[in-house]
Amino acid sequence: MTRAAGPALVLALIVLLAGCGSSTSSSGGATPTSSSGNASHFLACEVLTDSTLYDKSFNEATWNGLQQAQKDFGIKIKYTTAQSPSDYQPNLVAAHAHGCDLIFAISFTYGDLVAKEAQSNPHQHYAIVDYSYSPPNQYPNVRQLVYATDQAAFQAGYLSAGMTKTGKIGTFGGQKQPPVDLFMDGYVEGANYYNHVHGTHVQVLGWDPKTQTGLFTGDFTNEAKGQTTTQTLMGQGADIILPVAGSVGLGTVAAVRAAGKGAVIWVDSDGCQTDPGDCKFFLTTIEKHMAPGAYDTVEKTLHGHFQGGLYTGTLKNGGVGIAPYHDWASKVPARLQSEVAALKPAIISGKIKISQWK
Amino acid sequence: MTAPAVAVQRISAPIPWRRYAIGVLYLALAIFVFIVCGLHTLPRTDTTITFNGNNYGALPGLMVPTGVFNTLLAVVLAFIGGAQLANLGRAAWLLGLALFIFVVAFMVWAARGNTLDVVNVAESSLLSSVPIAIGALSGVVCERAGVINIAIEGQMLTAAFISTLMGGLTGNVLVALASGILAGALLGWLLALLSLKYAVDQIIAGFVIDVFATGFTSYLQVSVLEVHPEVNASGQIPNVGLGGLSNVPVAGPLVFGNNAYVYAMVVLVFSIHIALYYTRWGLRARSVGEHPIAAATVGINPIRIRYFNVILGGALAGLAGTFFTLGATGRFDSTMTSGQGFIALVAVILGGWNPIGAFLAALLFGFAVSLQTILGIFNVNIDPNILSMIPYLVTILAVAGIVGRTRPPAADGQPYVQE
Repeated sequence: MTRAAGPALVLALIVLLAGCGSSTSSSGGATPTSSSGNASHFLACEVLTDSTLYDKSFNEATWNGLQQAQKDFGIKIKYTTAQSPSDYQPNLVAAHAHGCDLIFAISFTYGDLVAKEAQSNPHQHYAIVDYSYSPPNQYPNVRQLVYATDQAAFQAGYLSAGMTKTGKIGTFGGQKQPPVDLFMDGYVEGANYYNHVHGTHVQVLGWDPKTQTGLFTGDFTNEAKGQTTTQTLMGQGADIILPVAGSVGLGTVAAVRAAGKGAVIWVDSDGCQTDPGDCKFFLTTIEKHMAPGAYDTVEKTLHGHFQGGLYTGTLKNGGVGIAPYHDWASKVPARLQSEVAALKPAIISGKIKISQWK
Repeated sequence: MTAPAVAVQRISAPIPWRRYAIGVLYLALAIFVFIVCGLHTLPRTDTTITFNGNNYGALPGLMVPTGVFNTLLAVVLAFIGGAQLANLGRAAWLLGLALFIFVVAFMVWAARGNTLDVVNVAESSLLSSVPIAIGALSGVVCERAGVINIAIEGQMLTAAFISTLMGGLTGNVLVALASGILAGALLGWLLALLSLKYAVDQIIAGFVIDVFATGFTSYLQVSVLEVHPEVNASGQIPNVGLGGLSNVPVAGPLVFGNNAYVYAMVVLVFSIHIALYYTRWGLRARSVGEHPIAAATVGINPIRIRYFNVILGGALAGLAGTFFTLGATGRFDSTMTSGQGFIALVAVILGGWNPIGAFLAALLFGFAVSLQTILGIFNVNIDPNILSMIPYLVTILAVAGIVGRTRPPAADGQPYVQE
C-alpha cells in the first residue's frame, strides 16, 4: 500500500459516512382492531420541515393523530424529516413515489410546493396544515387544515394578564409566518381586553399586532436560543411567557425552571400530556387540535370520502381551545377562571371581536 | 502657467478621502440619532434604566428622559465626527466609541416608555458569547502552532450529539461532559492525522470533517434519537448560584449567579493566555507556528507540538459543543450549532490570534445576538427577518471594516514536512 492510499481511504470513509443525510422512518404492522378491507395497505405519510418529530408540540400533534389511526384502523404510517429547505420538494416527491395514499405536509412553508405537486399528481391525496389557497377548492385533492388559534390565544392572553405579578408578559416566535403571528396577535389582544375590563396596564413584550413586528429566534429547533431569549425577556420584566416556536419553547421551560419563578403558556398540544415532567411550569396550553384533524382526514380518506377544500378549526367547532390548568388550578383565582371561561361563548357569538383589541 | 501649480499639488499630501468619508458618516449618524431617536421622543417620554439582572423589580431604576438623553448622545457623536475630520485621536478608538454610542442611543430609544435592564443585557451577551469564545480558544491554540482548525463547527456539533447520547444512556452529566470533550479531541486527532501525517490541505481536511459531522449527527439523530426520544436528554449542568451573593445588586447576578459555562469560559481564557505567553509549552507552540524549521533546528519537534495543540483544540471545541446541550435544554437537534464554529474563527482573527482578544471579539458577537433580542422585545418597527441578520452583519463589518490588516502566525496553514 502506497503512502497516498492512507489519506484517500480515510477521506473516502468520511464521505461515505457523511452521505447518510435525511432519511425516513416508518412504523407499521400494528395490531389492527378493526381492519377494513384494504386498511393494511393504506399508507399515511407525514412530511416535516425540520428534523424533530417529537417536539412535544407541532410536529408531534399530527403524528399522534396518525398513530391513533394506525391503532384503530391498522393502517401503515410513516414520517420524513428534513435537514434543510432543499429537502422539502424531494421529500414530497418521494412520498408520492413511495405510494403514500395520503400525504400530510406539516407547515405553512409547504404551501406552494404542495400546490405544484397536487397539480401534477391529481390522483394523489394531500393534506396541508396551516395553509389555505384562495379559493380553497382550486385543488380538489388538497385538504387544507387551518386553525383560528387567535381565538384561544385571546383567552390565554386574558388569563396571563390576570396572573402576572410584574405587570408584564412576554411572547416570541420561531419564524415570522402567518400561523405563528396569529397566536401572538390573539395573545396581545386578550391582554389588551383584560386591561380594558380591569383598567390595568399590563404590557406584552415581544409582539405588536399593529405593526406586526416583534421577537423571533430564527427557527423552530435551536432550544439554547430559546433559553437565552426567555432569560432576556424575564430580565426585562415578563413573568409569563408564550413561546410559539415548536421545540424551541423547551428552552423557555428550561429558563423558567432555572429562574424558579414565572410560567409558560404552551402551544399546540397540552404540555402536561406531552411533557408531564414539566407540568408545573405550564399555566395552560393554547391547543390546536391537529391530532383529531389528522385522524379525521385519514378516516375519511380510508373510507373513500376524501374531501378537498378548507377546514378551519375554531373555538366553536372545538378545533382550538385552551387546556385545563392542571397544577395551576388552585393558583388561578376562581373569578379569573370564570371570566376566561366566559370569553369563549362571547367570542363564538361575536360579542367580542378579537381583532378590535389590537 | 499651469506647470508650477501641478508641482505644488504633487508635494502636498494626498487628500485622506477615507478619513473624511468616515467623519461624514459619523455626522450622518449624529443627525440620525437626533432626528429618529431624540427629536420625536422629546416632548415627554422616559426610559427607565434598571440594574437588576434576573431579579426584575428588586431595585427601582433611573428615569432618563429619552429625547434629552439621545440629543446629548447625538451631540457627542457630532463631536466624534469632528474629531475624525480634524484627525484627532486614533481612528479605531473613534470608530468603536461612535458605534457604541449609536447602539446605546438606539436601545434607549427602543425602550422608550418602558424599562431597560442593563445588567440583563450584559448577562445575555455573556451567555450568548460562550460557545463562540471557547470555540475561538480552540482556534487560537491550533493556529498559534500553525494549523488552521476550520473543523471547530463539526467538532462542536459532534460533541453536542455525543454528550446528549451518553448523558441519555448513563444519566450522568459528568460522563456526558467528558464524552463530549473526548469526541471533540478525537476529531482534533483526525484533523491532525490528515493535515500533519498526510499533509492534506488543512482547510480541505477541516471542511471535510465539518461535512462529515453534519451528515453523521443528522443521520444518527434520525435513526437513534428520534426512534428513542427518551435517550435525547443529556441532563443539564446546574447553574452555579453562589448563595446569597447572587442577590447583591448589579454585580450579584452577573458575577455570582451564572451558568457554569460562563465561569469555565473566563477561567480558560486567562489560563490559556498565561500558558501561551508565559510557559515553555506556549513559547514552543508559538515558535512552531511562526517558523517550524527554525524551531526544529533548536531541538523542538514541530509535529509533536502540532499534534498536541490540535488535539487540545479539538477538546476545547468539544467543550464548547456541550454548551448547546448540557448548558441549555439537554436535547440535541441536527445543525443546532448553526454556524457558531465559523463565527468563532472570525473571533480568532478579530482578536488578533490572542486569547483575550478573541474573548473580547466573542463578547461583541454575543452582544449583537443580545441586541437582536432586545430590539425584538421592545417591538422595534423593523422586520424581524432583518433583525435576525444583526449578528452576521456585525461579523461582516468586523472582518471587513474594523480589523483592517492583522498579522496571522507566519506559518499558519503551512504544512511542515520533515526533510
